[in-house]
Amino acid sequence: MSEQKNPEATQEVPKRTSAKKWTESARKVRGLVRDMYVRAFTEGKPVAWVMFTLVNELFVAMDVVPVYPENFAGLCATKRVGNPFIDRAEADGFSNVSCSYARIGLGYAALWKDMGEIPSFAPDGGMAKPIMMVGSSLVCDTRYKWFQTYSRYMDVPYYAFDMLGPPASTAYRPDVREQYIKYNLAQLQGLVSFMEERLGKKMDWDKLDEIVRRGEKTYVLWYDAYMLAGGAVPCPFPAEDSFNCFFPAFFMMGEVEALDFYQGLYDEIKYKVDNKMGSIPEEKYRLLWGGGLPPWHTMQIFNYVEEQGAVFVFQSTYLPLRFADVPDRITDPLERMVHSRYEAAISRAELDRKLGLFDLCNFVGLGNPLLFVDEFKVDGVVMHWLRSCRGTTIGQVYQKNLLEERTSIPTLFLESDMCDVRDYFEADWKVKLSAFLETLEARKRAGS
Amino acid sequence: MAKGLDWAKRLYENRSQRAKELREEGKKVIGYICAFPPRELITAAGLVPYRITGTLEPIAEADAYLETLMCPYVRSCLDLGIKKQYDFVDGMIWPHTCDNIQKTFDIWKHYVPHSYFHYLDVPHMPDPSSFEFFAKELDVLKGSLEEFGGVKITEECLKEAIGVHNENRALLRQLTGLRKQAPPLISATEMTQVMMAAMSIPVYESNEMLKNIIEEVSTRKDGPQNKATRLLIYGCEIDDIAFINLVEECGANVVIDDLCMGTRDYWKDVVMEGDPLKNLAHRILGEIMCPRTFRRSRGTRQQDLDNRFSYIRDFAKEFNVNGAILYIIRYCDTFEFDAPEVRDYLEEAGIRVLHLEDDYSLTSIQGYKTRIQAFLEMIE
Ligand code: SF4
Ligand code: SF4
Repeated sequence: MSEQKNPEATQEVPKRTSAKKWTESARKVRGLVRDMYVRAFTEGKPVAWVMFTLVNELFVAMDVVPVYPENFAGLCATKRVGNPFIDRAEADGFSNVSCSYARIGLGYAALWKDMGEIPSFAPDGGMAKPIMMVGSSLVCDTRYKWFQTYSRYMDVPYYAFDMLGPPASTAYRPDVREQYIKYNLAQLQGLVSFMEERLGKKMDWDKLDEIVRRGEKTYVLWYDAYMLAGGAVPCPFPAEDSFNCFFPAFFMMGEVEALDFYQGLYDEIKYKVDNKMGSIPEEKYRLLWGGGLPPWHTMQIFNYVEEQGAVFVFQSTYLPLRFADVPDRITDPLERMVHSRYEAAISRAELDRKLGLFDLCNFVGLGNPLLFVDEFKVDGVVMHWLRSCRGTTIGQVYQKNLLEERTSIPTLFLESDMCDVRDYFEADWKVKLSAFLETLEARKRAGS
Repeated sequence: MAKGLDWAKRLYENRSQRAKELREEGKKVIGYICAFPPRELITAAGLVPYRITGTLEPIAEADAYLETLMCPYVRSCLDLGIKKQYDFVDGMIWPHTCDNIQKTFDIWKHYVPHSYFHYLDVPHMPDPSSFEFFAKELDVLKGSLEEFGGVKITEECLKEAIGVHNENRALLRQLTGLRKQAPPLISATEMTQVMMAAMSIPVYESNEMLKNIIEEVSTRKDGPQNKATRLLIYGCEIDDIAFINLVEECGANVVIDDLCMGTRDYWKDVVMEGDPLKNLAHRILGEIMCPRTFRRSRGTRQQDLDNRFSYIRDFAKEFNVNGAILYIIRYCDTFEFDAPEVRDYLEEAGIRVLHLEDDYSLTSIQGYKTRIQAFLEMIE
């Protein structure tokens, strides 16, 4: 990785950074995103700033509008307005390799405080003031550390909780399962108590139960839709659409709209698969986005490869969790939440383990490309090294090595950042991507 | 055989020597990374604990296995592992402390084979449920060490091991106490060598060495010179003298630290009365002041900051420092997030701060000379 930041990056703002949407469903997402920010201002309900942590159901049940700063950061990057926030956070001493979601989120709060009002260039009106913040250790350290620092700019009570998972090799031991489930449950109970205290009201457990069960159905639809799309030839739902369509699963889980959304997505994909409707006219190369967050600042790059006859048929970064059926004997909604997450994460880790891959439990991030290359008829794997995200970057080289050991499928590493456009060198990406497609072409000709 | 500081220096220069000798005598060596794994359990199982460290030399082979956009310290440790420099380590305890360590678990296991490998989960939260969970994790580790060592760790022998390790920590604190006076009786460069040596030999030998050093240092005439500035160094992993030596050469007495291989490792003891596993869990999760462990606060911002950082300010006062250097390893996320807060907190307490973000390499360290000199001139 070049230590050099791209000095031109923030000046040359292209007309369009986002990618063309291939599905009706993906086209609906922008409206849902806008709604999240607008509702926080207009509905008069309490607002919470939350890290994505698989607990959105709790906010829905408590009638709180959750706003997700990591989503806001991605939105800023897409609109190419993230860098003034990044500069502000760095001016306070935050490192230029700290998660750029965090730098944007912190810079936003800092500028708000400096100016006494929400910066006018904040997309969708910005993030409304919260009455509480919630983070978690799920996925990465940033997710509980970052919010601890918000108190520099706004003094809002903050709660963080653990959601841990054991290595796959021991996860099926009853004592280990019991130990983890007990702990994760206690941690969620702590969160509920915190919310009750902040809101001055008790959790409505019946309501939560209904929401959690709706969530379970939603998770299954999400998973089934994504997997159905991944295996389809031609590909009806390229990765850039899939990067859009995880929004309701991450940030609206438990809501009726989320369930409807995935039902719609499933139906749309099913229809396209049944009718062999692909997105690009001629699918010469099938690619897998095998790791790392996407470049939110330049999603259009996906169209660049499509112009050359290549399509990303799947992305394994935001891999849906398939919630195994939670036994009916578990009636407590919190327990249902903990069980479903544990079993889903573990069953995925177990797949990895059977292939002799990762033993580490990953709730999200780093779905192993080896699990998909055969099933989804993949010709090449592209991974994205992010300068500011350890959570989805560490392990990519290992995955590439395993791919090389066990398949003949080539891998390409691209480097930049999910939001900080100064880490992005477009000419370099285009050269690398074109050269990679040439390699695939040569391999095809050689009949491998 | 060398004595005192010389003993430490020789071990620092050839860290694995003693562990290798012991191995030839039939002992088994257990490596561990980070300050979190409980050495007490390793000792109680009759095994030799050995702290895995890196080197400031350029990383050669690890790049084929790990991304360059991550903690260079972990990459360097893996580099040594790949180069077979940890072949004398029979088993490894891998803690879930930070992302960089946790996410290297599978990779180390795959490419640096040891006959024993144990993943120790460490909660990030400080709640009663977290302590309970962690005590259970320690119990699981105990069982697995028993199996590997072919021994039973009785409560009695665990308590004995805890006692010996408490003594080790007490000796290190006593030695640290000798840095309070002006000039300090032991330099930070020497102290780094002592720490590195102490973590590469069995605790019984380490205690003997430390007693020896305390005796030597207390009456020495060749100690550090008095310099114009007394400094505190805050940060994560410093396992080499290069940086600290540079600071001392620039004209400061580094008299106290808050580092993973420094006071953070030995400032607090394990309580002796009661359940030893619970007590171990309490020390590690509750008392090791590392930003990777969340500290809850329901109070004001100031109360939160005091809860997290007042001990650093207290160190600064107790050791009478007039400046602090924050030495942060790039990509070490939890420290990266805390650093601006620590900087402001200390500056508010009247302590000037130099905040460095380093690549953990000899070349980068040498480049800091002018900045350190300028900082020292400013606070003198
Ligand atoms: S996973 Fe990466 S992008 Fe997400 S919060 Fe963690 S460091 Fe930031
Ligand atoms: S230096 Fe930081 S990131 Fe690296 S191992 Fe230590 S705590 Fe983890």
